[in-house]
Amino acid sequence: MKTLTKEIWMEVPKRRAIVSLHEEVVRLVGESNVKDGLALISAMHITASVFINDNEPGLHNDYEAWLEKLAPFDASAKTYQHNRTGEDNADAHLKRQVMGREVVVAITAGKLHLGPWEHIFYYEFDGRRRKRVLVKIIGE
Amino acid sequence: MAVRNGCRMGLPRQLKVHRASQYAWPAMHITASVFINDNETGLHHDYEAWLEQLAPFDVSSKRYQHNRTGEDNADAHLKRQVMGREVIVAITDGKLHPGPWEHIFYYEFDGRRCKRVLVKIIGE
Repeated sequence: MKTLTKEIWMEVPKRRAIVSLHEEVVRLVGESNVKDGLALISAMHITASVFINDNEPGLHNDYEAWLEKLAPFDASAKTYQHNRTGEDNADAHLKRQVMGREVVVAITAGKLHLGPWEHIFYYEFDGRRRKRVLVKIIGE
Repeated sequence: MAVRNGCRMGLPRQLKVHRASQYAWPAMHITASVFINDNETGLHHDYEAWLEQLAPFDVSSKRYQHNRTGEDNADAHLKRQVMGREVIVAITDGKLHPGPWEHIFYYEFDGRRCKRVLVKIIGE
């Protein structure tokens, strides 16, 4: 079995932003030489998501507005008990659950086996510090 | 599981595992979740309050058609979709490859009966 493990570091300069991981994952699949297998792409931090959806900025704005409605940012401990710890990111822990932690993508004939519009993204919910995404590729 | 809802069944962070592989932990029941997030009780309370707001418990079939079947757990099926079914964690050099604060939990939304979680580990 071949494996490839890579931690991708990034520092998103804003509290929230969507960042494409797609080209880097495509490159790593090529580097792995895996022809038939699986790629796991996961957020290593619990206030961020990795998800697959449309590469369309209007939709990304829609996610922003929708998530803010579902779990509004509130630094106080009135809305979220988690913020009693001195943190201000309880909303980020909730938003991450909606968008998910990781994706697993099939590799067939040496390439990601994706649907027609599938695009791999990282979603930062509490940025302005260095964080990591893990890419693990296994297969033959 | 003594309570209906709750992050009460935190599973061990590390197990004896193989060298380079991945493993999946799905909840085997459709009214429960396995998820990864902070091991902080305030946050667990926030999840409870938030999920109850998103999909309130209501045994009647006025709100949920599923409860026409005689069940009372439609809310649990919805809550589980928000929190997810499974997590997949990479194994590198024989250990889980988690981020600094990642902790694996089971979330029961309709307990008081015997349920299972599946752990599948593959690799070399």
